[in-house]
Amino acid sequence: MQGGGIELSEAWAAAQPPSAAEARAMIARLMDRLPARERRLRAVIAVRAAEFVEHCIRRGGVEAQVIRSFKVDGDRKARRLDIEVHAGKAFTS
Amino acid sequence: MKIEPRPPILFAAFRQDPAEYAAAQSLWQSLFDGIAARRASQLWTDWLNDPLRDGNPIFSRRNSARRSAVVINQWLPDDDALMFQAWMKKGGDAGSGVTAMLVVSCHLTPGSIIAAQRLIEAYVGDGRSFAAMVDLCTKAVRDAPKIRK
Repeated sequence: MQGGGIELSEAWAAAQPPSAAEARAMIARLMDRLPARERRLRAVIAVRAAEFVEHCIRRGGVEAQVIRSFKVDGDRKARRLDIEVHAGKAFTS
Repeated sequence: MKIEPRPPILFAAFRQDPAEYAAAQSLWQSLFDGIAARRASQLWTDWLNDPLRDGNPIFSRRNSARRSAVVINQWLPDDDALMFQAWMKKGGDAGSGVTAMLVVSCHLTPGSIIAAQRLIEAYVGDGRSFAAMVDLCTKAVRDAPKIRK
């Protein structure tokens, strides 16, 4: 979760790729760590990021390397949620 | 805040038409290669996947020696009313060697191409620092037009 003075992340480095449930949980944890105003501003992109994960699972996962940005519509401070896959395959189940 | 009517979007069907996707990708590649050629000693290689082929990102290159990357996200008006956005991002991972990147996210319009070109020239061609690029990105975005949805 970045932009607008926010710099928060949730990392995974497990042997198994994160599942959809784990990815949703990571997004939820990030949202919980935000101040209330930032959480409101980023509610839509959190949903879009979760939808992306679901989409990846339906197509069998995504191969590294991926950096995908979900940005708050119209925001000049680049408030966003970035999903990054640096190695292996993610979102397979 | 500037609200303007929608300008012409180049290759607006890039998500439905593979030929338009390839043409848009080629445009970004040509723009980048023209700038990178000024520093022939630097080797920039293709980097990120676009798993959904929706332009997020449509083009990316990384340079292991500089530990830098450039990422272009090509969006449509329904994605974002702001026509041009750019930011500097720290991070990356040991595998890619990238620790800093310039990210441009924009609608593909003539104005966005010019704005992106200026930033890529500053970062890739002139080798501006991270801090200097943050300032340039902020300035580029400050005056970027928004469209009505």
